[in-house]
Amino acid sequence: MVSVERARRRAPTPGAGKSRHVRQTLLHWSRDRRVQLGLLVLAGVLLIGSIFLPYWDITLHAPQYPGGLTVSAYVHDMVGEIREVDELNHYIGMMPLEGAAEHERDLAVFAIPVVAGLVVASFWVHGRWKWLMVLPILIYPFAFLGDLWIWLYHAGHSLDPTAALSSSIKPFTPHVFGTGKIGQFSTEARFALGFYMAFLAALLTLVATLFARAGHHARP
Amino acid sequence: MLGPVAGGLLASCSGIGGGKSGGGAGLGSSAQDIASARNLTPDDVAAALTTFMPSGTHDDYYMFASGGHAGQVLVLGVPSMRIIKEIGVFTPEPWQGWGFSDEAKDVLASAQVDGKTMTWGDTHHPALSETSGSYDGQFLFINDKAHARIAVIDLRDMVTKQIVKNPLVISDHACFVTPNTDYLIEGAQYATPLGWGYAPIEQFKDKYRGAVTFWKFDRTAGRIVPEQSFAIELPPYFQDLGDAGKLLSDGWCFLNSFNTELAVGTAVDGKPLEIGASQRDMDYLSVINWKQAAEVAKSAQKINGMPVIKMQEAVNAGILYEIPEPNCPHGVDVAPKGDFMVVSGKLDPHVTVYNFKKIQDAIAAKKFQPDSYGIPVLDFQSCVEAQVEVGLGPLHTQFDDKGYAYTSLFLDSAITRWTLGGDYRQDGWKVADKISVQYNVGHLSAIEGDTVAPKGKFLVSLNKWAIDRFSEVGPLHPQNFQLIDISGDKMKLVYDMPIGMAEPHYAQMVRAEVVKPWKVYPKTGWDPATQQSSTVATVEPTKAGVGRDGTTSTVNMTAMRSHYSPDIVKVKQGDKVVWHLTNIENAEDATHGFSLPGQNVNLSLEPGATLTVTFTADHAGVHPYYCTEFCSALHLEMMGYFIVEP
Repeated sequence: MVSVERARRRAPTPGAGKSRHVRQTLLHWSRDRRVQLGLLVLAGVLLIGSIFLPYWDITLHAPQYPGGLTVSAYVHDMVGEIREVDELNHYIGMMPLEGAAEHERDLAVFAIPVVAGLVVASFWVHGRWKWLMVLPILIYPFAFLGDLWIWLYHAGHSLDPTAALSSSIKPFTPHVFGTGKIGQFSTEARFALGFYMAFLAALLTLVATLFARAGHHARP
Repeated sequence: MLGPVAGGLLASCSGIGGGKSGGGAGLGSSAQDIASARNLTPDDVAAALTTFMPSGTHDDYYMFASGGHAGQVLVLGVPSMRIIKEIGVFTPEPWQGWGFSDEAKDVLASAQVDGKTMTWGDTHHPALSETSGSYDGQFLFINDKAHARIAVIDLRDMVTKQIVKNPLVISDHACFVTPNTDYLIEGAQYATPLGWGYAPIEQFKDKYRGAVTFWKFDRTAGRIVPEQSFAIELPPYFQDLGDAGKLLSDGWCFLNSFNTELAVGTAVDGKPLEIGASQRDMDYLSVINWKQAAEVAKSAQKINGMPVIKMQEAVNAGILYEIPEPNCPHGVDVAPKGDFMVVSGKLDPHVTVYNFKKIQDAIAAKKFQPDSYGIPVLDFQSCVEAQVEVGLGPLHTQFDDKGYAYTSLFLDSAITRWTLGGDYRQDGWKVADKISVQYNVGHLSAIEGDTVAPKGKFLVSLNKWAIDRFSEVGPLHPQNFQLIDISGDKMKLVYDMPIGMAEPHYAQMVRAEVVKPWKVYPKTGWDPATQQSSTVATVEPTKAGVGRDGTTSTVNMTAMRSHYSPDIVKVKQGDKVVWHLTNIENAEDATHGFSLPGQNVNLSLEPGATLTVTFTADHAGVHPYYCTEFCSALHLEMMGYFIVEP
């Protein structure tokens, strides 16, 4: 590491700017530390970025809808043919889509940056506190999946028994992933970029945290 | 397009009735079994393949046909020749709610004749709006011959938006646009005193007049502007069809006439008008400079609010000329380059082709003599380019993309294909082919055949008599539209299509991609009359309801599968009821109906549309209203009670 040695021998210029200080600090660290921070920052960026992308899509297909009807779930919002799907759902007595995960969606925009902040901040912490700080992001993708399943189950099992098609459509759970069928509609559910980014953020955090432990233990 | 398929088809069909032939176009034995069981010739099979549209595929062309005295416009798909829609124009049409909403009633009422609302019209000539001489697919104009009215249809939703009544005449025929739709030109037909006043029939020559009216069109507003329109007085020669000049002849228009004999009928002439009007060898083609006429009209006197350029004024301004044309002609059609004007002789077996440049030269050289009204009649020989003997009863001519012209022959019951000379073809002014039609063709329509760039491929013969072509349905027979393939060396009859609810006179065909209709209205709460958001729409069911102010009850209602909001509507007997309805759906084809018993109301509410009905609740009682357009699994349950309390 010739350049690092050279940096060490060079005395800091008096009155140097903060960026120079950061750079010198960075260069002072080992490559492992730099990589670890990089992964954590990347994880944080991916997690915050995932807010702006859909996590999950579901498309309903039926002969009367040549293009299909798609609803996309973001962590804070729902977009797509919500009105038309709700309109169709009223025949089977299903709750309006906007009623699903209301609190979770309101919370998400605040909670996610906090989780991301914890991830990045964990760089400066060690031991079990480090793991405590990265725990939120590690469980996050699974928490999303779990919550999604709970709401899908709830939506499909709280059908109004007096609804018009209640004799034809019995309680069901819409699929979290893959193909299903509700009445004359075939459904296709899939994860979208936002979810994959969140999952990747958790994975990168796990790697960075394990890596840090190893590096930490290896330092003289 | 058809050639290779038909060729392969014919090759594989040679085995019809005689065992298998699995090669050629790979048609398969089931197709051949059908052909032999139904005794279809290879030509029949080729014709069937030309027109068949597999489920879910759209036609390549639209055809807009007039409905004649049924008073509406028909929209067809070509080549399948299927009627896709009927557009209500002068005649109320309940399925589409035309004439039943306040908005529609306003349009029909604005075109009252002598204070009376007419419930029919005689639609003759559809004219698609043009830009630079080609159809732009935005608007369709159509005339009502019986009452001299013009309707404007917006092709985004294919609904009539405006009808204007001509203040000068009570009878029209020609209806065509200038190349950029600056004006819609309406030619009068049966002469009357201008302004539709009274004069004894014996004073026909002095008091009765014809006219040609230039209706200004405001494309942005999508409306004819009567305040900027004008007319030119013409002799009572019974003007007939017309066409606008284009390219070379842009700024000029041409109008036939067929009664220069000034015949009026038996009591005065001693013989029926039929005989009286067809005596002379020649009638007159009017040649008018409309661009300059617009300037002259600025200082013209008004009759019934419309500036009318008198004949003498027009002559003095050099904007009106006449050219002799053989005996009672029918159509005058300007060739694609605007260089030739083709007059179809009707009672003369020729088409007479005038050369625009020669007409200009004759005007400049003053080679004319005045007629009995002082209008300069140009020398025939100086203006004629050619005459082609096409057959008996030539009525109307259309053009294709190969320099051919097609003329309908009523008496011969045929269509002649002939060649244009000049810049079009070397072998010009000759008959090339003739095809019989069943029966008695009036107009014909080729794809974009009256524009600067006709597309060729197909032609439709608008036959007046079907006689034995279709299953018997009583003494009143349908008309017969015959689709003819003109893409090859020989014209080929491909399909017979009955029209059993109208008598179309003319039609125009345009490539499908030029017309861009909406699938639903652009915003929820849309006023189709103004093509903007409605000021009276309610789009939230929670905001719907009934309000009462004095003795006027206003109902603000939404319609959505499968209920109306509110559904129970209560008013007091004697109330004036103003009922606004909005279809708050977004989905394509989610139309709801609304029928109110006892009030003669049936509305059609397309997704997004807001309509209003106004009436007096004079009968105390219970009136169940319901959705008439099948909308959903619970369509039957989509109803409400209109309660009129005593």
